[in-house]
Amino acid sequence: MKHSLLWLVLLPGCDIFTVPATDAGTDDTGTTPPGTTVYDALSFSEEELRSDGDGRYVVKVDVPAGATSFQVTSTSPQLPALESVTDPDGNEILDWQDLIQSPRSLTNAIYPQRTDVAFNWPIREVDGALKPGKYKVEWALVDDSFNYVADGKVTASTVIKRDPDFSQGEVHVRIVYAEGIDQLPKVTNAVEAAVEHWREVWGSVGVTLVERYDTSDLDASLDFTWSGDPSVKKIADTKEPGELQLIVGETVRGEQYIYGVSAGIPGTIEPTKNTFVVLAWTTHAGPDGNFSDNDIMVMGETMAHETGHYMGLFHPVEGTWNNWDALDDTVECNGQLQCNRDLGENLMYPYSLCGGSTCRSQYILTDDQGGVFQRAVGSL
Amino acid sequence: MWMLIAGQALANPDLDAVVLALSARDAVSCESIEALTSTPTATLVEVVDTVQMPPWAPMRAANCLIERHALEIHPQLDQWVTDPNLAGLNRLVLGKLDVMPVEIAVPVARKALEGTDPELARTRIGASKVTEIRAVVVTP
Repeated sequence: MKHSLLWLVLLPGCDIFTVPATDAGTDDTGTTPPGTTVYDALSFSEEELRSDGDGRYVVKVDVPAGATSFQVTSTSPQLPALESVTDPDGNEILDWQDLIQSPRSLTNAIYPQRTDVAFNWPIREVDGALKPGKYKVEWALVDDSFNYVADGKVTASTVIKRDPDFSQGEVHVRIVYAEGIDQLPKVTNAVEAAVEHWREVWGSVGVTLVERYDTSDLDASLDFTWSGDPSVKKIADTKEPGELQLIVGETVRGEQYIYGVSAGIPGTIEPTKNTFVVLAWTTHAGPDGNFSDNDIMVMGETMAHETGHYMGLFHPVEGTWNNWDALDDTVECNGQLQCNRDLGENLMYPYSLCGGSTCRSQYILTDDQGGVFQRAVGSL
Repeated sequence: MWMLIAGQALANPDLDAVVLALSARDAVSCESIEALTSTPTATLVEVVDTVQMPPWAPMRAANCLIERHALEIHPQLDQWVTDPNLAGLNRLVLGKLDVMPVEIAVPVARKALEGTDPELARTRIGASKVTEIRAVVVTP
């Protein structure tokens, strides 16, 4: 199925963000020209494929001149995993075996964890600009026991972005309340206040958060979190084409010790069973069930952190202190004390650092982290 | 420094490590949390009673206590479902009745019906998959 702007405009329930003709705007400043939408920067395509006898399949991405990044999403009843990427000159620019052996994480697309897996390219500035021509993105298809699956069905969706300005961007997020949550004013007020903090944090790297709110009949226990669910796709089918989706529930998978989860690093912007970041309000409200100012601050940082994963960011260091992200300007620290000191205020730090009734605000994003944001197809 | 301050204020030598693990942004298993202390029940109760932030630290501690030590913390469970200042823990307990031993879940469910949010308690108890727990809303 080919997507087109006309098709999107005609979709029932779609509220395309059209810029009024009276608004000033030019291409070269990165703002949206009059009479267009931010989603004009995206083009979509989709194809049905089958894995070969070795359980592999190739998605060819035809990159036109002017394109700046793409995302490929593989959807299958089995588990897709990225194997390699070859550029139009025939150079293999990414291999899963290199990545899996490296202590520095670049994409989780190499791991067969879900039935919907997304891969962004380029991810960082050092990955270089896209070249016009055909990229070959090779995938494997495996079952739950990690055996290759021959002749398995796959839907491959490709989104290509034309956005030459990697210093500024809008990220549109639809915040969806699970059933009944919108009837709890203390929760909706806290969510809206937390979103303001999220906006500030992302704003530091030129990302403008554009959010809207919606309700749903999703069960508030968010039981779908680990494997996705058709009910999520049904909700995602009505989102805008470039939007991310943050679902607010009471718990995450019925467990009040999990406060938020991103369905991928990166996550897909296509509507799938796994198109979500989830957030549990009760875990942020804490034992008293009410939101203090500090609870709201950390909830805003959870929103920014988990959607940061969805855009492609890893923790700058993992809690084992011997795995890092693949970015040059996040300090490669070793050990808790050094990492707390050097990275403790980074948005993507894996721990919250608190004392008494307050936590350190984790609001910092480095230039390279901002670069990952800006290249993601969800940043327009 | 912040973690050190928190540590200095508290006598339990295991508390720093447990609180750090509970403060992780990724979910941590109760088994790995409890491996950090020689007194898991007492340490986790101390976390619930004394640690305020991040809010998921005491909630995770309470979750581990409910899942693994419910019989040892009956007084705390009764308090969590009746103290108006612990509405979050009340929700946690009511969502976990089915994982507790039935001999503790039933009296705690009865207590919750007399607690701060009897309407929520009635709904959650009535939705239990365990017949004995569900029966509490029929024959309190």
